[in-house]
Amino acid sequence: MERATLIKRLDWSRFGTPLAFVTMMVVFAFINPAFLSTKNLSQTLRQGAILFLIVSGQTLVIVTRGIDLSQGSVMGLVSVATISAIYGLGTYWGSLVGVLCGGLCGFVNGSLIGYLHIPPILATLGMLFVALGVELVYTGGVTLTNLTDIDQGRLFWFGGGMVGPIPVPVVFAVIIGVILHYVLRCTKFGRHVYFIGANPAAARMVGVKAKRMTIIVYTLSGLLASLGAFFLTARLSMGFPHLGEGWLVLSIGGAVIGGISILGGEGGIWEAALGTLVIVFLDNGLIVSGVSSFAREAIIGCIIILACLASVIRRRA
Amino acid sequence: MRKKLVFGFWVVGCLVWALGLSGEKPLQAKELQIAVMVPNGVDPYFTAKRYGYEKECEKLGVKMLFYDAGGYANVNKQIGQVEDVLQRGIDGIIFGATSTEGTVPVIDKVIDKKIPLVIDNLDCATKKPTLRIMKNGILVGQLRAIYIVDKLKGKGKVLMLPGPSAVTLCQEEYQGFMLYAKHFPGIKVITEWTPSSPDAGMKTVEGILQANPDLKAIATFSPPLTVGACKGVQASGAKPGEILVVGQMLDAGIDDYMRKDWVSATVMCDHIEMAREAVRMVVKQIKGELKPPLLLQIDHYLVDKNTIDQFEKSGSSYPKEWRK
Repeated sequence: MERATLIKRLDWSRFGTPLAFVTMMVVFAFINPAFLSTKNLSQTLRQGAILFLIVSGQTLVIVTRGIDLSQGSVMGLVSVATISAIYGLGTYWGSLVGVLCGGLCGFVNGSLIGYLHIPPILATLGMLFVALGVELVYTGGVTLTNLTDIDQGRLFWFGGGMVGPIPVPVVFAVIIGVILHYVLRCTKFGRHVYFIGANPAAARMVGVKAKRMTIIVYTLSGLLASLGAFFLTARLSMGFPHLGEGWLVLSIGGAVIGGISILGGEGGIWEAALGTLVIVFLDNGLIVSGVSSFAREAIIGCIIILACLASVIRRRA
Repeated sequence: MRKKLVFGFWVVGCLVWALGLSGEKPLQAKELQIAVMVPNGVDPYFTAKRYGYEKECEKLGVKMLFYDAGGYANVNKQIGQVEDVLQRGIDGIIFGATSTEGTVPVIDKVIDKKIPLVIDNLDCATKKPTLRIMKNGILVGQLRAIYIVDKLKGKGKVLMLPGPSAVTLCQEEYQGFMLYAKHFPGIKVITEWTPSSPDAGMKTVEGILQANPDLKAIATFSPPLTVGACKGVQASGAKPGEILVVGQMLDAGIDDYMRKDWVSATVMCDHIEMAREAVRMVVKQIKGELKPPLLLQIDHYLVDKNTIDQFEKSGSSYPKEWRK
C-alpha cells in the first residue's frame, strides 16, 4: 500500500528520465559487463560531450519556442572551414575562424527571425541549405585532409586528447554546461529567455527586448553546434562536408528526451545533459549488447516519440 | 568593280567552307551536353571520379552538368534531379543510383525517351536494356575476405562495415565477403550497416571493440568509413597493425594511414579511368556507335604497404592541384 502511494506521489516529470537512465545502465551492464568498463564509459562520454554541446544550443532555441534546423549543415560547414583555415592560419587561429563561422550562421538565423519575423522553422531551414551549398561550392565536395603533422597533433588533442583520465571534449562540455546553466537560471538574460518562450506577447509588453534576445539565442545555438563540430573534426583530423548528417535528429531528440517541452518556456541545461546521456548510452549499450544497426535506429526513434508524447501529456496535465 | 568584289567574297566564303569541311569535325554542330548524376558527391570515390568525367568531357568537347544527390538516403532528391534534367533536355546521362530499386521508374522514363544512358557502378534494377560500367562488388568483397582470412590463418572475429544497406553494391560486397568467409568456420563475422561517414564508422568501431575486445580485423566499404574505423581502433589503444583494417581506395588520407600501419590493405580499381570510359560510352551511344545492352566490368586489385608505391596510380588518383 505504502509502495503504491510512493509511486503515485513520485514526480515522474522530474524523476522519470533519470530513473529510466539508471535502469537502462543497469540492464546493459547486466547484459554485457564491458558496458561499464572505464574505457567504454570514457569513449561514450567523449561522444556524448559533442552531442551535449549541440543539444544545449537546440535547448536554448526550443525554450524560446523556436527550433534550429540548420545545426547539421552548420556542423559540416564548420568542419571544412576549420580545416581550410588551419591550412593558412595554423591550428589555433584557424580553429577560431572555423568556430566563428557557425556563430555567424546563428547570428543570421537570429536576425532573420528576430528582425524580419521569418518563422524559425523556415529561416533555419533556409540556412540548412545555404550552409550546405556554401560548403559544397567551397570544397567542390572534396574531403579536406593533408594537415601537417604538427597541426594534426595539436588539433587532435581537442577531440581525442585527455586531461588526466577525462577526455578533453568532456572537460569543455562540463565547463560550458555549468556556465550555460548559471546564465539560464541565475541571470536576467536567462529569465527573459524563459519569459519569451512561455509568453512572447507578455514578454514584449513588459519590455523584454525579444529581438535582441532571439539573435543572442540563435547565435549561441550556432556557436555551440560549431564547437561540437570542431571537437568532432579535431578527432577525425579531416574536414568532411557532410559531417553533421544525422546529428540534427539527435539534437532535437536529446532535448525532447531530456524533458524539454517542444512548446517552449520549459527545460534547461540539466535536461539537455540528461537527454544526451540517454541517447549516447542507449546507442552504445545497444551496440555493446549486439543489437543490429537496423533495430537500434528503430528503438531510438521509438524512445524519441515516447518522450514527445510524455511532454505533450505533461503539458495537458 | 562591284561584281568583282561580290565574286571575291564568294570565293573566300567557299574556301572557308571547304577548309571547315577538311578540318577536324566537331562531334556535332551543337555542343553535346551530358548529365553526370552521383549519389554521394562528398565521398572521395566520387570526387576522384568527377575528375575523370571532367577531363574526358574536356577532351571530347562535351559539356558536363554534375548533379549530386547529397547522400544515399536522398532517393527523392535524385529522382527530382533526373526529372529536371529530362525537362531541360539533355543529350546523355551517366547515372549512379542512390537506391537500386527506388530509381527504377525514373530511369525507365529516361530509357523510354531514348536518351542515351550509362549506369556507372551504382546499379539501378531496370529490366530495360542499358549500358552499364560496373565494379565487381562480389570480387571486391572476396578480395577483402581472402586477405583477412589469410592473415588471420582462418581464425578470428571480423567486423564488416558494408556501408548503407539500401545500396546494391554494398550488398554485393557483403555477399562476396561472406561467400569466401563461410568456408572458414573459425572466422566469425559481425556486420554493422552504417552510413558512409567517418563519425558513423568511428562510433560503431568503438562500441564493437568494447563488446568484442578479441576483434582481429575490420573490412570497410568506403574511405570515410575506413578513416572512422582507424580512429576507433586508435581510441581503443590498439597498436598499429594489431587489428587489420582493410578498406577501399587510397583517398582521404588512407595512403598515410597505410604507411603508418593503421590500414593493412585496400582494394583498388581504376575508378578515374572508369569515369572516363563512362563518358566515352555515353558519347558513342549518342553517336549511334554503341547500343545497349552492354556490361563492362572493371578489374580490381589489392594494395598493401609493400605494394603502395609499385602500381600505376593515374587511373585512380587525381592531381592535388585539381581542386585548388
